[in-house]
Amino acid sequence: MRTVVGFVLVAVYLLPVGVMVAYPDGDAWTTRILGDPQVFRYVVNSFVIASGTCVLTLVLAVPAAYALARLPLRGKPVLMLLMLSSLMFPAIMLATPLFVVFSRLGLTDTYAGLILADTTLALPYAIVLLRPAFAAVPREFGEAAVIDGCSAFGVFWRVVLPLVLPGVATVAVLAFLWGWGDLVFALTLATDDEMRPVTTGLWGFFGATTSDWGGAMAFATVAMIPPLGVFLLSQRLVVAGVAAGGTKG
Amino acid sequence: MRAGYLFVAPAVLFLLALLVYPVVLNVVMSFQDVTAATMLTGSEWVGAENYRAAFSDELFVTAAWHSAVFAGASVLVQLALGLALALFYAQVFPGARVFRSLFMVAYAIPVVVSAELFRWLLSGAGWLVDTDLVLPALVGIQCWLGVPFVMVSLLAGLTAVPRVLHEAALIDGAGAWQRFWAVTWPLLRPTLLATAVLSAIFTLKSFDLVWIATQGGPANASEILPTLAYRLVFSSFLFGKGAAVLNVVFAVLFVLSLLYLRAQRREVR
Repeated sequence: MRTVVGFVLVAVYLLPVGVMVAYPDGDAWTTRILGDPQVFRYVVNSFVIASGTCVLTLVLAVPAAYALARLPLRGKPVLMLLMLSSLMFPAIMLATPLFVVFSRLGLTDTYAGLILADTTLALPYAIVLLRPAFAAVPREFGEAAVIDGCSAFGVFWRVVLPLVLPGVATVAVLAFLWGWGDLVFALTLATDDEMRPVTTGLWGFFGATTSDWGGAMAFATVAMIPPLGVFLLSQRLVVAGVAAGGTKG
Repeated sequence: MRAGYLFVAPAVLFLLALLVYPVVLNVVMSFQDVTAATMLTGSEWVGAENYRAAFSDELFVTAAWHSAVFAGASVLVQLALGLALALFYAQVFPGARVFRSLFMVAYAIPVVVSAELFRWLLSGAGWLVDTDLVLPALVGIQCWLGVPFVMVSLLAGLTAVPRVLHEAALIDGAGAWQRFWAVTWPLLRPTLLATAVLSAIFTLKSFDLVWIATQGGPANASEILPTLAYRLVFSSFLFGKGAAVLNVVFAVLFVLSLLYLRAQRREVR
């Protein structure tokens, strides 16, 4: 009985998504989506931006979280406060100054600009999530390795890192989802149609006054499939990560 | 000893350059007359003129009110629904785990996609183009987006309530309702508070949903502070005034995050 109720609740909740996927007819798919090279371009852009955000976030966050969790360091409370308060920054608040700075540096309408912008908000989140994972590895592991002649980097790379790979994977997925779903930076930093990811692509394609809902829903489905795929593949990890205290802006 | 600094340096330098500096720049710009023409060269100082202009703008007051209503109503409804769902799915029954995690599917969908989806679903009813119904409709969509997060956080809090307490209450003859108020509620309250504050922060700063669904329309009926600031900066090119509006949002978020940190600390104790 409870199983039935539990199933019905989820089904009702997810019904809109099902309707969205089922709605577009064959014509909406073939001529307006698959037949349009610009849609493909948006998807490629999103992949580059999301993967880049994911890689850059990991490269910066993993060593930082490790040091904040396990190494002697002055100013740790200040740094953690910086990370925690960064979680509260609205993307829109960074968009204005980043637009000004990136215009000066010629970084608007580039992959690099978008990846840098998306990483600014993914990075503090990643560090906040990863630090407890590193802290949970018993100290004796590292000490034993040092006695065996392991360098500081060796302890990090060969001893501790392999033990927190699930946490690293969670952060990788969340950073990818964040990079893929970003609207604000895409809207402000990528005005050239060639550089647009799917989020602003979808918006620019159908605009505020569309009546081509078949095409819009087909496009929305395309924009949803990659993050959904990544999510489902890693689902267990991500649910744990979200429960640890975060959501997207 | 030195290794620690080498490990954190890249991340800290990155955040200083791309997070702290822009935020400071935002504050600086809010005291300057920055326009598209002066943006690249340097601008004149105008004191608190941008803030004065923002506060005396009727639209600012409207948008602030909408933001408060939008966030307040969304948080209340999300908490009520999320709590009900969490209590239900905390029970042990076949499929509970799978169903629970299926809710999280909504979390992986870009907000733009969900907003576009609801724009279509509500296009027939016309709610998003009705000045009286647009805000309630947006609250509804925001709840759809936010419920999984509330549910998962509360489920984590619920599983931390020791089973023994429930069993003891059961032996003492407490009904389900009594057990909820006497056992679950007091132990869940810190989690509930923390979740409420976090949801409020995320709703207040959210821009994507309202921008895609209505762009603040019709006739500013769903204008919130983030959409107003975006319009000021990127349509009217009033960088200073836009920055002033954003700093007001930031001040509110800052107070809320202090509350959150305090709630967290109390929870740990």
